[in-house]
Amino acid sequence: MTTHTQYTELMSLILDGEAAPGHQEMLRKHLSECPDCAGVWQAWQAFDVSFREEPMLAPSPDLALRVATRIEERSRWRTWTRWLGASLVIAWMGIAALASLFAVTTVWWGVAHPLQAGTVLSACTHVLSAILWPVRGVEMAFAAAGLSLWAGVGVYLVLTGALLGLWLLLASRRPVLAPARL
Amino acid sequence: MNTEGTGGGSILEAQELLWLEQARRGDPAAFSRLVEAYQRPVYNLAYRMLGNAAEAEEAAQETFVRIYTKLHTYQSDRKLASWVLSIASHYCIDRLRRRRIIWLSLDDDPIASVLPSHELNPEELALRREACDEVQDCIAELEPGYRAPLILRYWQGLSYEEIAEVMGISVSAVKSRLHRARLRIAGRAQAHPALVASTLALR
Repeated sequence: MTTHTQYTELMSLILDGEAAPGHQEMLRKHLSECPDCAGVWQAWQAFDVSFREEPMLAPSPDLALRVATRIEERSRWRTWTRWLGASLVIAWMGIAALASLFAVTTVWWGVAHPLQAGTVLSACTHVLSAILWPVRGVEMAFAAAGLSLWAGVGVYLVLTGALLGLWLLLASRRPVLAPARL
Repeated sequence: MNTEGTGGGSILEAQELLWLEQARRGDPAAFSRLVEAYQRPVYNLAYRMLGNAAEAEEAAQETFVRIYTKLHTYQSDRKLASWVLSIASHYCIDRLRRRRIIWLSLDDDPIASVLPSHELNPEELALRREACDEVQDCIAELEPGYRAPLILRYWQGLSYEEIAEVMGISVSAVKSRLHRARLRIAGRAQAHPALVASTLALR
């Protein structure tokens, strides 16, 4: 036995022109016997008419131009982020190279001139001690709170490095298409 | 693309595929022609989905930017119109799901620009406007997943199979969604018998 829901499904197919030929006659017969479904069918036909009569809307005439501008802006932004990423990587590599060079030179000089090295080291320790005095104060405050400052600094550095690496990876991805100027 | 449907003919489709190929190779003019060919169906879909001219314009622009970045993913065994509308409908559905506040501008009235005002007297024009608003209100009551098939069916004239391809769902799901959307709208239409009568009177 066909239910009301099955008849409304049939109505939907008929409105879309997708129903089998015999189904229209089947629906017509049912509508003559069922006033509820006849009312539904009338409402469906009414909104079907109003939907079909609705015009295709048009965008503003300069949409293509706006799209072109947007694509150009995105391309420029992408180029800029890639340049920034590359610059950061080069800067990091330069700093690392300089630091390595400095360390190697210092060790070499210390081995060659142990006495002067001891004096310089002692002076450096004093300077560093003066510079790190506020840091030690902060560390003591952290220790009082049961926290390790260096652990915090380590976590911060690791997170920063990971985020920077992720950002560089995303920024340096190759574009799917060569940036086009429209 | 034929702006009144998708049956643009094989010559037009071949021309659009040529533009797409040229755009892939970085020809900006070819991509602009592709935008011009599809701007109306994409904008219409966005407007019917979002119900707001400014948002529809923004969505149409974003859709074309996405198309530009996905040009290399287009596969020639697929209809170009289906591919374009698929990107547009998915973007609009995502946007609707993310949307919390609707900003409506009183200046935006894309319907007024396409109504044949010179052929209608003021009373007919008012009735037509009311019918237009009613249609948009009906669509706005539907959930995003139910709006898209209805719009693709009525304004793009797509078949069940094409709607299924655009939305990435089965044909039976398309039938079911169209049926449920109509049931929902019918409830509203039955609640406004006077408007139904006036709509039919305008035929």
